[in-house]
Amino acid sequence: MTAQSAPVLEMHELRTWFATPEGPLRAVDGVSLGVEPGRCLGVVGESGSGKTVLLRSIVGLLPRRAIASTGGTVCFEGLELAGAPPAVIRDVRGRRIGMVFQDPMTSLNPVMRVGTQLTDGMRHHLGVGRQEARRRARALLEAVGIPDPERRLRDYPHQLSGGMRQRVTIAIALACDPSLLLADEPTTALDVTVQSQILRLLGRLRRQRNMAVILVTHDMGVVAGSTDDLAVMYAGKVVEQGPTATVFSATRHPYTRALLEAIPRADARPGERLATIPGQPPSLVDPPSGCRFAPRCPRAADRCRAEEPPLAGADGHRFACWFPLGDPEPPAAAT
Amino acid sequence: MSQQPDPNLLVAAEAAPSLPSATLSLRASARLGPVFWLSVGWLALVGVLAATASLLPLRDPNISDFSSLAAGPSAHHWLGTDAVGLDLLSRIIYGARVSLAVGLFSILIGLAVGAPLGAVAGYFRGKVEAALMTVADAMLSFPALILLLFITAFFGKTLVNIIIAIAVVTVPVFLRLARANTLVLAQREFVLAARSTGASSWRVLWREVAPNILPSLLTFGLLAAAVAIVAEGALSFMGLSVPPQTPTWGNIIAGGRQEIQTDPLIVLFPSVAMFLTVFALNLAGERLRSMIDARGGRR
Amino acid sequence: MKQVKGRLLELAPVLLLVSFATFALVRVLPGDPARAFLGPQASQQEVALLRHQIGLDRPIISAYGHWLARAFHGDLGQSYQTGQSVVSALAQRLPVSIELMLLAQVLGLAVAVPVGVLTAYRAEGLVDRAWSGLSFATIALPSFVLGLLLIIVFPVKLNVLQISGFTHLTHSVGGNLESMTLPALTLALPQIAIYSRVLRGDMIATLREDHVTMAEAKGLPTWQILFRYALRPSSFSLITLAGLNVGQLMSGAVVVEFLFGLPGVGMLLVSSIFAHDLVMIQGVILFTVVVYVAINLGVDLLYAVLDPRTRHVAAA
Repeated sequence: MTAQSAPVLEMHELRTWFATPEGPLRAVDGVSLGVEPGRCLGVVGESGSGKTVLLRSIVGLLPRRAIASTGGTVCFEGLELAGAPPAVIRDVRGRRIGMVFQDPMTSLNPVMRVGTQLTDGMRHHLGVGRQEARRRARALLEAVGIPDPERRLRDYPHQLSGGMRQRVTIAIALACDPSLLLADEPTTALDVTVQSQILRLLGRLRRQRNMAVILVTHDMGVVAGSTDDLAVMYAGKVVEQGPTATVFSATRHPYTRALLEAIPRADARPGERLATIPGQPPSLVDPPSGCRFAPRCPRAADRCRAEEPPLAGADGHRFACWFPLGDPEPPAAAT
Repeated sequence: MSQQPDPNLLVAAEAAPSLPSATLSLRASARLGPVFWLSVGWLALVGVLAATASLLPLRDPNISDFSSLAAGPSAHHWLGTDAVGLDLLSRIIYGARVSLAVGLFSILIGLAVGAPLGAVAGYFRGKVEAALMTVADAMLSFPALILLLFITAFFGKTLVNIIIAIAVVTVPVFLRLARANTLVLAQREFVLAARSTGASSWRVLWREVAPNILPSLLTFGLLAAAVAIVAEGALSFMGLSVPPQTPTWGNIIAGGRQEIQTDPLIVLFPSVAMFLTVFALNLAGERLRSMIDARGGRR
Repeated sequence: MKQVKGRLLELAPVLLLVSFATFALVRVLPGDPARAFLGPQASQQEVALLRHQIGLDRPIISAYGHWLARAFHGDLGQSYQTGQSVVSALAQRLPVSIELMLLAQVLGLAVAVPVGVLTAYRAEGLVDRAWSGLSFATIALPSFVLGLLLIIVFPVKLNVLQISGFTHLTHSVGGNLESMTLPALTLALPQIAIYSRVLRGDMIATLREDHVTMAEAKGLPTWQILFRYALRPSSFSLITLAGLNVGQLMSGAVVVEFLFGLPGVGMLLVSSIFAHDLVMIQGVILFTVVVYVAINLGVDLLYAVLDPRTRHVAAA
């Protein structure tokens, strides 16, 4: 663990609430996370857990009118991004922080050539000329494993396969050599074989460039092989975080275990049903008092429903649970 | 040419462009809102005045007051007089008769002919549909205003001819709209259910399809009526509508055009009447349409 | 170019039907059109000659075939009022209508595109709401009313521009533009209203798409995102609409040409209708319809240029 290197990005108590007719929706509700150079932080959770909003909050990519209130700090390479003027954030976006989105079928502009979409970020941020931008674009396409880059630069997105397009969006995100890459479900829309290729590619590029990566996904299987650290989000909050290996081997939060049990395993007997988590995620407009997972938690006790557990622990492994796994069962009054 | 969002579907876009759907739709909500009722109020006022014109204490629209030629508003002539001393208020109210008659009857005829054909095309599909759509497309690519000019020039400038001419032009529009609605409707559960119980096609068309496509056709009719009124106005303005003894908004405006440099009010008053009427029809139509759309969305 | 062939096949019956209808119009007229044109003093011989000239003495199908065959060779006959050939009359009037159309379209698009983009970017904002109301009012103004209002404002009250009349471009460029300004404005204002609202609607949908978020994530300036990334995929309805208007205006803005006394195709048509000049009417209508249909086809082909996806489907 390269504990001595300072984090590229450090969020503290980050909060993003959306305005709804029923009141503020607490999409991200006090999240503190950081990521160091060359390392990959995975953020997992069900859809609606706030992980995508968290990622977009970092770079201010949320519709401004939808936001009710924000809070907390986002420190990126010494620069405070939370509440920074749009021009400052725009200068960071694309140049120092790259982003990859979920669906490569829709995240490329259908009526512009790949080359244009790949070079205009460089030309804008770095002020490189046309020829130089082309040259770098070819190198980037090669780096992400696209054969015959010269031809691909002249192609339109619809001429490329899904995996190829995701490689292109990765190349776009890397165009200005960012120190942080935000990847929002980058493999969800892809075939399984392509998924692992893209994950390996991201890992290789991260190590080559000593770049920090935040990988958001709902898939524990994706997280297992490709992240160094892990944060599990539930209902707008982090419920467990730590080194990926530790979280997997010494799981403390019941929600994390439920997610792990939902991974399809190769050794499962045919017809064996995957474990699913009963119930629905809570309303983020009017979240339950106490632990937000309590209504669905098999171990919940009275205390869980009354008091919110703090995120605490030792050796970088922290969890928010009154009765963590590995500790004795809560009193019989539980259910 | 089946999916073009044609703003020129009806009469002469240059005379009155109508809007492609859902662009200007006011916010759909459960209430109709004050704007809608103001529009309806204006239309009702114009309608009542036009219907009762001969009972009202108005001056004869065709008897000149030679003591006041091209005079501004006064106690005798509330809106003033035109170049030959005709009372403008009276002429505008009588003119409303022509405009409203054209708007109402041409659209009703167009609807009565076009809608059943469209429903049949959309319900039975196949060769019937192909033939009807080809004819409708041909009619639509024929310049509407030219057809109107032609009919009135050669068949006589009578109110009936104008109403029929405009009705002819609107038939393909209602046909397409009714077909499109029927296509959607024919896949709905209740229509499928009616068909599966063995009801005859005509019965299903009459009992299930017709009542369901009528609201949106009538709503579109309001917008179409506005276009019809503008078309008649344009014909009148060019001297190709009813003869000038019968006042129409278009021919009052055309008459006032000679005096536009000295008395712009003669042009202005009938223009305002026409604008408000067209505006009210558009507003009311859009309002109803956005409500129907919203309801359709929730179903 | 499979696409083009398909469209042509689709359009052929429409064109045939419309041209036949145009031709047949003459036949359904009450009375004898030749007699009606020549007047009661004309001799029986003169009437017979005219009837022969316009094919009234033959069965309709054979006369139509004859007319169509000649039309294919660029011969639409001669006006029996002035003796001028229909084609040369059109050639004379067309430049005026085309100039008017171009001015109106350029003016319309030049205002509507930026306004449409802006109102989409700030949808539901103050400017957007105000513009929506204004647009709605503008399209409720019939063109002759709008034209007269412009006359009242500019030549009458402000004493600029002329009320009507036409100066040929070869005569004086300044004078020509002066005579064209109000007509072009009359046509452009409602187009601005419609174009900007249509573009706004499509643009709002585009701005919600992932590729726009992606462009934002690249840190590009807002104007680049709006005009380089979002405008083109949002412009298809606008192009269709503008194309249809071009088709319509090529054959003359009848009311506006009449109002401002411009000698365009629309005016030609109105005057030949007034004069019951049947050969001229048939010729002009046929021209109008063919142009309209051809522009429709052109708009379809334009999609291929704008949208690479359809281009490659067509090539496949």
